[in-house]
Amino acid sequence: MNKVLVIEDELSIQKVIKTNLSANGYTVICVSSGEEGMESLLSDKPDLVLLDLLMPGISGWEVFSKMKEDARLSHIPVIVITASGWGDGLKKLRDMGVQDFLSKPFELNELLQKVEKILKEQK
Amino acid sequence: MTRKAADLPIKVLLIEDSLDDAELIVHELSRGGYVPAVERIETREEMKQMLGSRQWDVIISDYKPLHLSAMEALRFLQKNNLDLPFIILSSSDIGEDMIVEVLKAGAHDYVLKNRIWRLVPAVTRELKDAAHRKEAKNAEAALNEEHAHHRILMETAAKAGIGIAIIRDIKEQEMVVVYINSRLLEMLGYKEKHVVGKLVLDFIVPEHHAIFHDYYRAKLNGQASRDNIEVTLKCKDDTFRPVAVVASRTIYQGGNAIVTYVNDISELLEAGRRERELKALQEIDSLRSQLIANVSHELRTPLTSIKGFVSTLLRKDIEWSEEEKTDFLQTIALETERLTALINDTLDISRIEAGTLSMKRGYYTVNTIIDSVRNILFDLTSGHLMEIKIAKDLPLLFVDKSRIGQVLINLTENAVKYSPRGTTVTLNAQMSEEGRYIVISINDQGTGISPELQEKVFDRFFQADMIVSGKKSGTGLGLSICRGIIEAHGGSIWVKSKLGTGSTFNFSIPVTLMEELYE
Repeated sequence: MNKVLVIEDELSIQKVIKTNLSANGYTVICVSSGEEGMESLLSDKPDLVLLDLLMPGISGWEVFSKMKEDARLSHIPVIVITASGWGDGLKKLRDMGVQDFLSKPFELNELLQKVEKILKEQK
Repeated sequence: MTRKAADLPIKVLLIEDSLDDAELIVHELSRGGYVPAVERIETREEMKQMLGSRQWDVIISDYKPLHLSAMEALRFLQKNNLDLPFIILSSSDIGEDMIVEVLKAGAHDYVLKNRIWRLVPAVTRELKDAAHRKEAKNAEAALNEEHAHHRILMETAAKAGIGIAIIRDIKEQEMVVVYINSRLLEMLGYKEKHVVGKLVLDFIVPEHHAIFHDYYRAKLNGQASRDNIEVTLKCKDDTFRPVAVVASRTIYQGGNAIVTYVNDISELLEAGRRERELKALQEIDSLRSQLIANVSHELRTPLTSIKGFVSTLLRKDIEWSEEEKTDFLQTIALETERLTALINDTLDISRIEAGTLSMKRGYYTVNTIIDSVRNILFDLTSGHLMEIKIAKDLPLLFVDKSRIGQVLINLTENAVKYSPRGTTVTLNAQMSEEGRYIVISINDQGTGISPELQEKVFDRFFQADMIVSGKKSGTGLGLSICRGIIEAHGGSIWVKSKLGTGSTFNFSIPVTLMEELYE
């Protein structure tokens, strides 16, 4: 069973993601900060990360950089969740190897399809 | 007694047709200690030539030689503006009338031939007098030159746009204008006669009299003072002109005076004002863009949840249980509330900014106002201890009850947000010391706010949580809305805080006087 880690500080958004991905048969782990996210990445070894960019403490940007620097984590695909428009920063992330993006408010179908597609490609 | 000249060279022009007399004169001068270089002439032509080609110390003339009379020689000297000691040496038979006549015509002295011993003292005295006359003439020329120099300086300054006035104390009067240049007259719009002799303060607006007076006194007494001052001139036709004034001490007409250099700075100030206006407009513009960016960013979060759960409920591939459905709907309801609050905040702040915040004011007691939000306040502080202390016999307030309630809720939310669970939040209402305001304060026992941040908390978009926790919540508009509401009531809002001991947010509302109430 595919394991998805959601790093997102907004509880209501965690909840909508978890509800739907769980219903589709994924194992979903939710954490509310970058620090917790780093811990979970190492201990839970997820197959995919959904990463919010603006969070207390370690931001999503930093989590992503750390993942790319860490040989144990650099292969894990990442979908970034952002509340701002598409700026230069996102282009940079794409160049750095972010798999995909979800822009708030995203379509539920978009979330489900992107997760499914990336996990299929991984196999 | 006449001092005897000691071997002084002297150039003498003799108008004399008698060689004997000439010899007598040379002899007498030599005897008197002079070393005379003598040229004897007889005609007008010779005189012209000698005066034109050489310098002379003295002219000694017979009264009536054959070819050139003393009178004629004197007229020639006068005509050519030559000031040389002129001594008549005449025979003893000369009448008193004649002597008076030649002295009137410009001769300096006369010596009778039979009293030739008087010649040397006469020459010595006349040389001295001539030297004095020359000195005086030179001094006058220098003074004229100085005046010309002064005038050129003043008018060159005028051409360069610098106004100049010289001011001094005259008799009992202080600070009288004694000189003004054309540029300053132009600035004032007056003619010279309207200004010179008048008090300088007549041309300065009253509110700048003290600053000008102090500056003038300091400069006049050589005390330390500012390099320059800015004052406003009161010009003709009741117009005003801001100027910069630089003053220095000087001597004018024999007395201490102050010379002031006056620069018109109205254009400079105007440019500065325009720049500030432009900056203010740019700031408003940037605030507006910031508002739009912040708001649209903040709206996305509740919208994502609402949209997500609506889609979740609509999924056809999953059969949700009734419990799950209720849970989703409750989340949607909660997030809808949040969205509404954000939109209300945004509307409030834009109304405050536009000055169109609508208020429904009425007369209420403080108790009534607090009671209207009491339940909400206790809900908000369910994890804290809430204390409400209202002083007795407070006068009525003329306020929009729901707006003041909004402020109380906002301040209480903040108090709860920034203080640990289990601590006390205190609402206190009492009269201000001077009795013109009711002051309501909300105190927490939280982390407190540093002095630097205290200055910023009421600024639009300032978000303490970004600093405290790195996480945004809300729009960053809450306290600016509170400030807008309180100021619209004629009151003010402020914070007192100490790091580690907590914060107190206070606001004041002017009390309504009973007489106003019955009007």
